[in-house]
Amino acid sequence: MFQSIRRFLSAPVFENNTEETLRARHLIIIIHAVFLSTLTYTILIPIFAPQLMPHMGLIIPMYPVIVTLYWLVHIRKIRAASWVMVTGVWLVLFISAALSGGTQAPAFAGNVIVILSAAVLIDYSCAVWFAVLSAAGGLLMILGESAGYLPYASQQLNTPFSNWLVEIIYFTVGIALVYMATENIRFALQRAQNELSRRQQMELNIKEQGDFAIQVMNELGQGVTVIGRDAKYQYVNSAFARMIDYDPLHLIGKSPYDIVLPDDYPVVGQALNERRQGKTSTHEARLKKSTGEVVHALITGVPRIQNGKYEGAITVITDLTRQKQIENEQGELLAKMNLRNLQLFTAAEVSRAASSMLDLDTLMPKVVELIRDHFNYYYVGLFLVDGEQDLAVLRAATGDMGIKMLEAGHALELNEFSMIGWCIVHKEPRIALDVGKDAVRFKNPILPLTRSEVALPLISRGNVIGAMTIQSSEPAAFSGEDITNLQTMVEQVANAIENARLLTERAILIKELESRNLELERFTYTVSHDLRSPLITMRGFVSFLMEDAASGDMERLQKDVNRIVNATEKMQQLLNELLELSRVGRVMNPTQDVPFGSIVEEALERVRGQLENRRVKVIVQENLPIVRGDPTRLIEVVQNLADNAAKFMGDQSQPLVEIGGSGIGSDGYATFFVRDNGVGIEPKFHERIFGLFDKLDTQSAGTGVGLALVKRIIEVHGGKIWVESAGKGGSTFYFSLPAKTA
Amino acid sequence: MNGEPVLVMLIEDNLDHAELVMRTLQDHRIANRIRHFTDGQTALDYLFRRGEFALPESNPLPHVILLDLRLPRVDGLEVLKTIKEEDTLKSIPVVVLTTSEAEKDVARAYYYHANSYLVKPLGYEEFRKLMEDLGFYWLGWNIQPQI
Repeated sequence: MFQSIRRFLSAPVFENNTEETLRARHLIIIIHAVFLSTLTYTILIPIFAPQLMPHMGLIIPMYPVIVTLYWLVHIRKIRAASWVMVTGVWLVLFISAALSGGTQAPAFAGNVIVILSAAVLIDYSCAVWFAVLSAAGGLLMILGESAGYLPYASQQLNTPFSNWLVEIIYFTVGIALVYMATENIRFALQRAQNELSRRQQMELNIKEQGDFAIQVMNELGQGVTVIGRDAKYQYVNSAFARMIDYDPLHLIGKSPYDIVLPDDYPVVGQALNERRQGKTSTHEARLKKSTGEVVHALITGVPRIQNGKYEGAITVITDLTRQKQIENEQGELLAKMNLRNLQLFTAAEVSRAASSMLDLDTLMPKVVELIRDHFNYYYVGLFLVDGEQDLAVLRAATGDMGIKMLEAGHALELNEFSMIGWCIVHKEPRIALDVGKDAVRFKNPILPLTRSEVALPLISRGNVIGAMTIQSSEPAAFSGEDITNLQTMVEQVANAIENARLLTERAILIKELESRNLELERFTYTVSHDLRSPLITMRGFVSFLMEDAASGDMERLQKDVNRIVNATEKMQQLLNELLELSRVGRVMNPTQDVPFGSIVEEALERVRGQLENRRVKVIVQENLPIVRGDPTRLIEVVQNLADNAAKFMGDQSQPLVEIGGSGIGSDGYATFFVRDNGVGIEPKFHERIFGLFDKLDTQSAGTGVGLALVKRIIEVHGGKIWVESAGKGGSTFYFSLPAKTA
Repeated sequence: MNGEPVLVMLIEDNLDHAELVMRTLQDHRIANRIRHFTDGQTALDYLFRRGEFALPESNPLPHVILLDLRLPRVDGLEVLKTIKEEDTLKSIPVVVLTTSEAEKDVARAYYYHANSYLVKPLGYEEFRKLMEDLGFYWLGWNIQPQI
């Protein structure tokens, strides 16, 4: 209870608003004073001044006003409370003055207190208004008094004691007001003091920050300069001085032109101009160190503009020397990596080509083209060693010049007089460059633009199988590193070529094996078939012989004996020829160069009897080429063909056999022919005639081995045999044999 | 047998073998008549009544054909194929009689609808027995189609 009354009667505190708090405190003091004086009046008047009792009607209504005032303060309506208070007190004083003595009443003097309260609690202008109001009120009372409207005004109700009492109240309130005014002044002074120290702190901060900024600029890794309007350094930080190896003090007063390389003057001039126009500029420039070295720098200049006037600039300088160096190194590294990539790529392509191409004649041109195209070389050529002739023979080469040299059969001896020869003999790569004191002049008329060359040996499984020449129109196109890389690649090429060679050999072997196998199959087949025939005949007719003897049919007996004898002979012949056939290829006389003319001569000598019997005319072409082979076998070939021709003359009245050659092909094989004008062979039998025992005419002599034997001999020599005949007008047998190499 | 004269066509290039076959067959009176051809072409000419074989009266179709496989001019298999592709001839039984035991030959003969495949035995007794059985089977037991 007591607490809540106390709270109700105390001034509220306004946080963060000292002025309002103060005003509330002042207001509550005045309200207390008013309350106190009202209470004093209420108590003292009935005792000491009963004549003033009519005033009680005026005093009593003060209490609700005072309670309202406390309430307003309590709900923090300070300004409203102030107004109510000042206005209320003024009204009370005015009315009481009007009722008791007018302007002479002590209540009228109380206006001073009201005016002061207004000044302290509300503001100065409010005080003026109340002063005017009080003056006007006084004047009104004087006029009203003289006119007789204010009957009480002239009544001297006050006693000296009551006057004293009132004045005591005025003194008290006056002291309170003075206290308040003093407090207000102190408060204002306090505020001024606070503001002052705040500003001082701020100034201190700014100075500290400035010092810190300078310290930062000095410690900064990047160079910082301050340039004046005259483009001279006013300040340089230590980083900048260090960057160009100067004492910072020596730089003050110098201009950028003193440290920039003359080549970069235009750039610097342009930057200065831009700054004068108020623009920030960034440019690169090379600076001279005091030691003479050059520093690459990136300079950003920000103009200092004060009051619209150019006052110089602040520049930030970054040292790009290391960066430039790294850039250059990266550039070189990148170029190296690109080259290496290219080499790897080419190597991969070459490997792919190598693994996908099993044929040397496809692989080698592809390889040289790939290498030349990828590295943009002038010419690439590939030589393979020809072991028999101790030569390195050009096998693939790029471009038209390559075609020319390939057509000319370009080959180099395996000695140190050519780069290719040298590198094959030494198993090492070799470079020739048209630069320096060992400059090499290249003289090949087909390759006029060559200025440098590298020759790389093709080494596979430790053997040099050839060499590759790579030529460039640049004078120094090859470095040691290139050669290491190219050599690695060329080794793959060498392996690929060797693989292709082995594969080709293998393919040939497989083919040969297959044909052997087929032949063997055919052989067993025919042996079982054709050897059975005479056996069946023999055993059958031997049995008949007994029947013949028993029946006494001597004529038939004789015939049957003949059949048996013939079958035996046939069997004998078959066995001989089979043996002969199996010997071909297995037993070969040494290969030698023989003029084909002499082979024909010998063969015709052996069949002269048959030819003469049938009156066959033989024409042999002259100057037949020299062939490489087994002469004994080759004679058998011609002998068989000539014999066959004579055998199948039919009813030709002018039998003729021609023997000749039809030239040497690009594969080094010469083609020969044996032509007759006999019965001919129908096209559907052209394959069958070369089969074992496949006789078209059972009635004709022979075992059917002849043409199979011929075919076998030709094939053992690597050649081919075929027949051309329309079925009438004779047939021509063609066969190819290796010609003697020129 | 129904009294009608039985005709056997023998296509065989080996004259000795042909003689063996004919003598054995005739000894057993199996066939009334045997016509022997030494190559495939002539045999086909007969069957198709071409050229000198144009008259049907003197060149009746055979009741059975004995065919060797390896023949000059037209190969035995080719002859077989031609016969079996021809409506008027395909019902004639064709017995392949050859020296070849090769599986390939057997397979191809049956592929072209050979009715039987016989290999000539090496020994005469077996040969004789085979011919006998052949005669009894194809010309005796076997019911011939009406040609």
